[in-house]
Amino acid sequence: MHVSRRSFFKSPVWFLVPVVVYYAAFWIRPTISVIIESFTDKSGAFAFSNYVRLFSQEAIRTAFLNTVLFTIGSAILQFVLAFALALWLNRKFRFSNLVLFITLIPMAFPPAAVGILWKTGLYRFGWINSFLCALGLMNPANPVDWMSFRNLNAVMLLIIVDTWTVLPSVMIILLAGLQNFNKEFEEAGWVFGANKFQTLKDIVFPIMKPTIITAMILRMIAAVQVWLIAVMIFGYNVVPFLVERIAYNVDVITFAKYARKDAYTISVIVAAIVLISVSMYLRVSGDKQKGGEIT
Amino acid sequence: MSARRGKLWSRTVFLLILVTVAGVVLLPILYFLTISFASNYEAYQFPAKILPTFSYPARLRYNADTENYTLLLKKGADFEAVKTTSDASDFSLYCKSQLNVLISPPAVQTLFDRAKASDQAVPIKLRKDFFRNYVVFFILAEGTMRALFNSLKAAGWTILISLVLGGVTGYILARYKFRFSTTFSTSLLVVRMFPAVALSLPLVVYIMRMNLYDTPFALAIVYSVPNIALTAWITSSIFKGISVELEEAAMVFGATRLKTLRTITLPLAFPAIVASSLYAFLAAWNDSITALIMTNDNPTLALLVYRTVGSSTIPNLPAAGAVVLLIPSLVFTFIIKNYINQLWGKVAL
Repeated sequence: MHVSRRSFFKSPVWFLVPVVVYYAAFWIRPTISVIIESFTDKSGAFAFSNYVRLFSQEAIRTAFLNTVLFTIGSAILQFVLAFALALWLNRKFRFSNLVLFITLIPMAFPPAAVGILWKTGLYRFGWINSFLCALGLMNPANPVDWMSFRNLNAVMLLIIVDTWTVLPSVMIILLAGLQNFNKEFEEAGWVFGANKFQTLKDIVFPIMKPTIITAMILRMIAAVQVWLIAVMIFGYNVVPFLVERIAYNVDVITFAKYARKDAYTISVIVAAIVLISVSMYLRVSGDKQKGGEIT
Repeated sequence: MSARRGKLWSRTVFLLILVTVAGVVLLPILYFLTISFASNYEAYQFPAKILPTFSYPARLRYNADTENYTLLLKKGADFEAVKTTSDASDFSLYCKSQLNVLISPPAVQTLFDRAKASDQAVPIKLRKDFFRNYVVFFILAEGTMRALFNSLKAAGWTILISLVLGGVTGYILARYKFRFSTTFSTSLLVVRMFPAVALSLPLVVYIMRMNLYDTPFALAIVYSVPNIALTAWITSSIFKGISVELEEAAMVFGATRLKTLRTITLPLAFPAIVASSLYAFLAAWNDSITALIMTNDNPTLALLVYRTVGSSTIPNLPAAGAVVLLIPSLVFTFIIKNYINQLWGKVAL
């Protein structure tokens, strides 16, 4: 009895108390309060009115649709490109390390820098038009104003901009998967007469599946939170996204009647999407790796 | 014959891919750097130059009938009149604001005299003050330096909080098994991926109550939430790799637990500690949504850069700001690059 009490007080778990307190104060408490806020009306009674009001707004519906389009579009484009790049870089060639280094550079760009880099390209006198003129693909007298793109075109433009920066981080995950991949499986395929495409489809893909799903879910989590590049390139309200709506409510229409409530409610939706993705991720990675490994 | 042609063919395709990949990454960056050094005049020139210029090939013409002077700048094959004035200080001001050329009114006057003496346009050399945009953005514009320091302070606090809380957590998770350790590490993962927006919004209320609104420390509180978890994950995997026997050996020789930690464990875990600090730095340095929500008069550099883009039509000044924002990110990302790979199961580089 005496011993067990002493070991209870000497337990190293006590060192975790500060972290638990920190998370209780700065993670659990705000999370609970934002959920409560989103489910109560102005008088504080339980209601779905915030959600109803939110989805009756045209801009929010567009934001939802744009976010879905952006997430799916960027996931597909980035997967295809990143996988091709990873396969290419995985077969060592003379300068493959240098090429890998170069392809990783965009990963280091802060979102604000990405926004400006592309803004310097997309305005009428920007480098994209200049480059197209230099190649003779565009008439210098009649440059395209990329920033006047709207709706689906604008979303596609943003997918390309986003792909430029995040492709390296998707690629590096896939490349790691390929390097862990046992070459002998592939060779076995060739021995049995499979061609390159068949080996890829029937051997590489199935073995790489958990890595691919991991990379895609991580991308999804980041993609639903897109806003900065959209606002920096097009400004508010042009291409609404979910988090862009939050920023708009907080940054521009701060004193509007429902600005806070709307921002809270959208952030609950975003958090819910992210948490669903995380639980999917946990299920996938749980099959593949056991504890301690960092993702 | 056909085998050789096939080889040639595959080499061509290979080079084509190589050039495309390098071009897609490097061309935008090169143009972007050039824009950050471009004067207002150059930023409106189309097509834009790919490399920055150091001086303008220019001519100065005296117009005898109107008694004023015209500055001509080279554009393509011929020269374009950009400024006509009779006043030396007006000319000097134009050079400074539009061309990034620093030339004093008396110096302009001597050029004027030379042009007057000649009956045709005299060639003059206008040297660009190369770092003018950077000077304007960081030194002359109000608040940029303060924003830079805010970013650094927020990053410093984030590193401190994450290392202390995350490092301890990592150590405990690596060394002891307790009842909820799996649940605990899973919840750390969830925290790590939780969107910052969903935290910053409700936290503003508490931060205001704590009288910390609009301070870098308040930002650090939010940035630390995912970073404590990340630090715990990184350090725990490293602590697991440091053998317990090593620690026990030190204690056998009479070292206390604290001394063992200080002289054996921490030095061995130093790379992981550096890596998690750099992660924490990058999280604070790159963020803009939390800063947007939680600050008012004390923005961070990333937020300031974002705001200047909205207010200016030509992006040469914000580009200069973004280049400065970019440098630490670039350096630190490439330092921890090998860590990213290790976390993903070792990509040999």
